[in-house]
Amino acid sequence: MRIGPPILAVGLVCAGLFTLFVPTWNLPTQGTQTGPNGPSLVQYAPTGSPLFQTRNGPPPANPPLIEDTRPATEAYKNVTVLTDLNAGEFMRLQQAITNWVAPQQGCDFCHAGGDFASDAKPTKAAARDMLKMVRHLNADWTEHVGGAGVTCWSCHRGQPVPAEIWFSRPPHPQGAHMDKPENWNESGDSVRQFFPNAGYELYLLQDTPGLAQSYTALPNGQVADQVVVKRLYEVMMQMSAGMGVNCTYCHNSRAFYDWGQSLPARWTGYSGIQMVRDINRNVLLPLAVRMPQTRETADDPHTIVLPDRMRGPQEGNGFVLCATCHYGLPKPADHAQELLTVFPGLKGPGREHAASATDQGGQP
Amino acid sequence: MPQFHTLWTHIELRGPDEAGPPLQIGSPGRIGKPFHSQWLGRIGEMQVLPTHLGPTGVASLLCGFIAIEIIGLNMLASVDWNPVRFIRLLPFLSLDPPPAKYGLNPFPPLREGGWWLMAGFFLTAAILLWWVKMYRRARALGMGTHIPWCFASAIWLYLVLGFIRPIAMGSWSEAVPFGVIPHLNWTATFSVRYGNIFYNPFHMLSISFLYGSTMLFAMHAGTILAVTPLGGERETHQITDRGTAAERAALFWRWTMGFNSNYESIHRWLYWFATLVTLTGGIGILATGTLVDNWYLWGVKNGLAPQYRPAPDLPAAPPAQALKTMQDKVLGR
Amino acid sequence: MAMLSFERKYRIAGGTLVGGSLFDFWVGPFYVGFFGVTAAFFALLGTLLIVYGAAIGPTWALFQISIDPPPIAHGLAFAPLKQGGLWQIITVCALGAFVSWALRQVEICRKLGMGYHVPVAFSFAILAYASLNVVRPILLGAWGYGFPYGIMSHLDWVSNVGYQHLHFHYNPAHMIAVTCFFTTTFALGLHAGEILAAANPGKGKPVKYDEYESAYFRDTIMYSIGEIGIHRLGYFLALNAGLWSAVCIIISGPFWTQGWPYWWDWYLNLPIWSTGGKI
Repeated sequence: MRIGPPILAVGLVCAGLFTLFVPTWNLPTQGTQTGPNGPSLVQYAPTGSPLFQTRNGPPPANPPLIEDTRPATEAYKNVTVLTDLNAGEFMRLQQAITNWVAPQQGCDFCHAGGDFASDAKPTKAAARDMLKMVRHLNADWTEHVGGAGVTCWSCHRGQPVPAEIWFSRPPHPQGAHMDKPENWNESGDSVRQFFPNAGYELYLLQDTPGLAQSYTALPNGQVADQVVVKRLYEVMMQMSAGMGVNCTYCHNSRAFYDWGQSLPARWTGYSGIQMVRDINRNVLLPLAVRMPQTRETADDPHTIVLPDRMRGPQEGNGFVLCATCHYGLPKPADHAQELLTVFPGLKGPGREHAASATDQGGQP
Repeated sequence: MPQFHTLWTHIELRGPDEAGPPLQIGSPGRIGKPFHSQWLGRIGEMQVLPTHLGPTGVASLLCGFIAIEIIGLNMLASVDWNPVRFIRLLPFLSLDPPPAKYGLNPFPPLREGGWWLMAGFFLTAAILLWWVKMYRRARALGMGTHIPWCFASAIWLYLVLGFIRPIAMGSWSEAVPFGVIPHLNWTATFSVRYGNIFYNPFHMLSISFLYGSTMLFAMHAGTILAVTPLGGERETHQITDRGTAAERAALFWRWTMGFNSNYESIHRWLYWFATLVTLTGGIGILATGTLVDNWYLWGVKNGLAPQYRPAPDLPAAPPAQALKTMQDKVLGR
Repeated sequence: MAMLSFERKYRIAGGTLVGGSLFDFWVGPFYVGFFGVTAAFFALLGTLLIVYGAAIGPTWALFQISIDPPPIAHGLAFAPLKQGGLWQIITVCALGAFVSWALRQVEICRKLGMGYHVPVAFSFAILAYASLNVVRPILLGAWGYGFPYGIMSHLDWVSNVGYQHLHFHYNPAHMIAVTCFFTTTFALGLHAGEILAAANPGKGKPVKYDEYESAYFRDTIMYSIGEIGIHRLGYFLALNAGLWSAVCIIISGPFWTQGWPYWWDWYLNLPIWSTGGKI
């Protein structure tokens, strides 16, 4: 009895079905040219990172504006950030922030009981920092956010903690004699989440220069260490995944370092890296130091909601990366441009204004 | 004693086992009871074994076993000895060379590359001992030593990657990690790190020989299979006593492309193409980081890089001041 | 003299596929045939067009010359000559020349009473070329996805297409193709070295035949695949190198636009892993 051929045939059919149906193949798609003809500088239509795109829905409806032209500082006690709004705008923005950030928890998420002036809850201080940050970003980071700007919705999308953040991790515990080389995120269900994020600390928090390649043909000691380049590669991969674009969206890969051959988007991307560093270093790092209890109560759904894979014994602080705002799209679907026209309070006077105020001896 | 045992037929003949030519006096005997496989017979010879292990073969297998044990146990340790995690993560697991701070220290701590050095030592020993075995078997059978020298070319590339270049660069950290995905990541990172490895002329040569080898093997194997009904696969016989198969094979290429080799010289072409893949590849790796730091700029310097007409909307490079202003903003200066 | 000592008796009429006896003759060592004429026509025209493209291009530096495909915005239409039209005609010429060459090999096989193994093998190389510059561009909807004709510019193209998928080494078909390339070369080194070693055993020693060849591989790696076997294996490996190269580029773009590392997500999500508890 010849059993070989049938077994072979069944095996081949199984392998074929597996190959067709198990990986999530993309259908044929369109692309756009990003650079000169010839060397294939192409960005496929951004179908990338379906992982993150589930959060891309419309923002909640804006609360109604109640006419009240008194300055907010007169109408309400203890207003320190949104001092340039009138009482009507102020209340409308407060309600919108609740919809954007804490729709389930409501006002009590930040405010203690009925006393709206009280600073008892640490989340209120955090919210003030966040408001200052948004006003700062819209005023001082036009290199990156452009005319569209950002709002609370850009990152939070209805959750007290944005879905895509990263945590600094303690060094991997070393074995006595055996190394444990990579800090895998083993609960990751995508290779993207799975790779170690050691590079995030180097490039999104610390001030590590992104120079990996030499600017001269012959050795001059400029080339970065192999491990450092690997970390840089990983950071670039989070950038690519977070925005759903590939390397040739910004770079001509034959000379990654060369601004002269790079594509327009690289300039925006570079300012984005600097902006993320600004947020992580100057906003989130001080914030997390002041708010240890945020993490300790992380598993109480009425206080704060962490995504599943961020629960448990997380150490270190939560920080942002590209996906925090982009959610898998080159241009975030956060409707910030429309929202900012409705909520002018989200754009601050800007750093230069603050600096000049300081020069004149005024309050920053 | 001439034998003709690959007659072109679908019938698999089971003759008496071939024991192989007599061994030299004093040499250890061949081991293993020959057996026949019908499936192997569909493609080539049916007989498997006997083989000749000898002292170098035993030593080589032992060293290879130790190397694989070190690599495997380190990987198992890195997943806390959990077998399911081990299988799940096996493609990603790695045994890394020592970090750069240890330079060429031959005895870094075990958990920081010490095991890597040891695995590398035993793997290298296994490969070199296997080379000795290949050489000695060729000599013992009274044949040329062409295969060992081709093998030596592959060993050259292996040694450049894991031993010679790290020494030239002054750090074991320059070497390749052991692991499936890690060595792929290393390769891509290496190319980015040194500009663009496609602009390395020895990489170009190596790839050309690699593709050339594949093309030549397809041409050669196709020719031989096409004249097999005429006995063309008996190549050493055709070399010493040309038959119509050799004549037709030669004329096929002569009529196709105006040039032909013969049954012996085609194997010289093949031999050098295969040998030069790793020979040139090794030179290219060794020159990277030691003689040249950015291959793309090396290409620009030597007039290799094409100039593409810029795309219409491509802005000029941002002024250096703009970059600095942005960094200052972050650092609060 | 263009003829080998034994050649005259093999030069017989007949065996042509097309054209009967019209082109059934030799020029020097070359057999002509109908497909020889078409191959020469396409090859000459294509080469001259490349030279013309270089002449109207910015440089005569050999490594920098590049004949670029049309911009992607042109889609699958004919492009003006200087904006990729040349590339389109050259592609037609290349395919014409390659196919003519393969069919001419078929005719020569018929004349010499040989199997068609060589033209079949060559057709895999043609398939790989057609995948790159015809099939994939059609699937993606623009000729601009083809690779440019230039020594360095095609390398830049390869580099960029690779980085469009973030890290091309993770492409499963690319893995198979590279493995086939390396294995083919490995087998080639062993085979060629073996034949040379048997035929050149050193001064004063007798030439060795298959008994010794088999014994050498059995002594070292336990198994000798045999004289037909090694050519079947080499043929199989070499053709698979070409075939999987074609597959790996066809799926890159038309069927997979993300980074190739993420293709492997299915592996991390196999249901079997849950048997180990939370990992």
